[in-house]
Amino acid sequence: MLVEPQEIERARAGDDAAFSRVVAAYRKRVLGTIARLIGQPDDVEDVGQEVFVRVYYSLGRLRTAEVFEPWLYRMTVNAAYDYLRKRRRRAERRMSDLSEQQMVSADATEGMVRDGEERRRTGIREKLNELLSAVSEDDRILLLLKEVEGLSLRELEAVYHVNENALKVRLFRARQRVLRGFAAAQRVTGPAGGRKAAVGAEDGE
Amino acid sequence: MNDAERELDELFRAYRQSFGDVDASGGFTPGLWEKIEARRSLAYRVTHVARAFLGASAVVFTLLFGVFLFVENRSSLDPHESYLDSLASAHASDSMIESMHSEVGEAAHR
Repeated sequence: MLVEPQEIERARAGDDAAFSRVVAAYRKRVLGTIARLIGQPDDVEDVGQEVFVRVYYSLGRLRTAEVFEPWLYRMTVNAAYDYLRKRRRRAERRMSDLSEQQMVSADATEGMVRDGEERRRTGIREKLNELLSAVSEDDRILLLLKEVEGLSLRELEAVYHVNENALKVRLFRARQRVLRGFAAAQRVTGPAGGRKAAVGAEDGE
Repeated sequence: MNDAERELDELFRAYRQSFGDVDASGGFTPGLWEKIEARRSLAYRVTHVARAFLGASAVVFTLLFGVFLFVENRSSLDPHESYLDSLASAHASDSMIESMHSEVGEAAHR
């Protein structure tokens, strides 16, 4: 744990200074997780603040300080999930409001703004986000927690309160679906293109 | 593990690296406390309005109930009315009670 359990107990008892110290300790980890779950760096701080507001008002319901970390992960996952749902609704509304011509010019403007390193990073995020669109938002988050955040099955079990076998099945199915999409994309661009995209992403192509 | 699986794992790793080191700006913590305070004051206002509404509802209900009881008692209390008169007026259409009333009246005259 990044803080002593006593610090969490103090925050739970209403000590705002202790709560600030807990925020300072976990802020970076929470923001990193949110960034990777929602794939949208601009909105990370907003979602992060929402997580800690929920933590502040729900700390009283925490059973013991020892389970704080999986509980915080669950709060983070829920806030990211809410954000993704809102974003999908907003996008659907926006798309239905725009004409095709407006959408083309919006894409072109966005393309001009990006360049160099940021463009490469955005490319990787878009590629994975596109592949992950083949699975539900629940499975997207579960897959990212396992494959990107590196949580073990045991840690996921504590976050989701679901037994390990059920998680294994969900993860396997989600990964297979993403893998099928990935293989299909490889067939279109060719294996070299696919490898180039993934490896080039790391090399700073 | 086949090539596609390995490449997918590489893409997951590249995705993680693409975010770099994420940390908050200087406005994160003050912004967080503003949101906490805003939610606290909203919760306070909602609780306050709900309590006021409940209190007002209780007063209005008590008043209406009091008025109802008063009107009920007043209409049913007539000091010059006998029990049978009251019964007859409460069941004006009940012919049996009317006939009983007249029979009792006649017997009293006799």
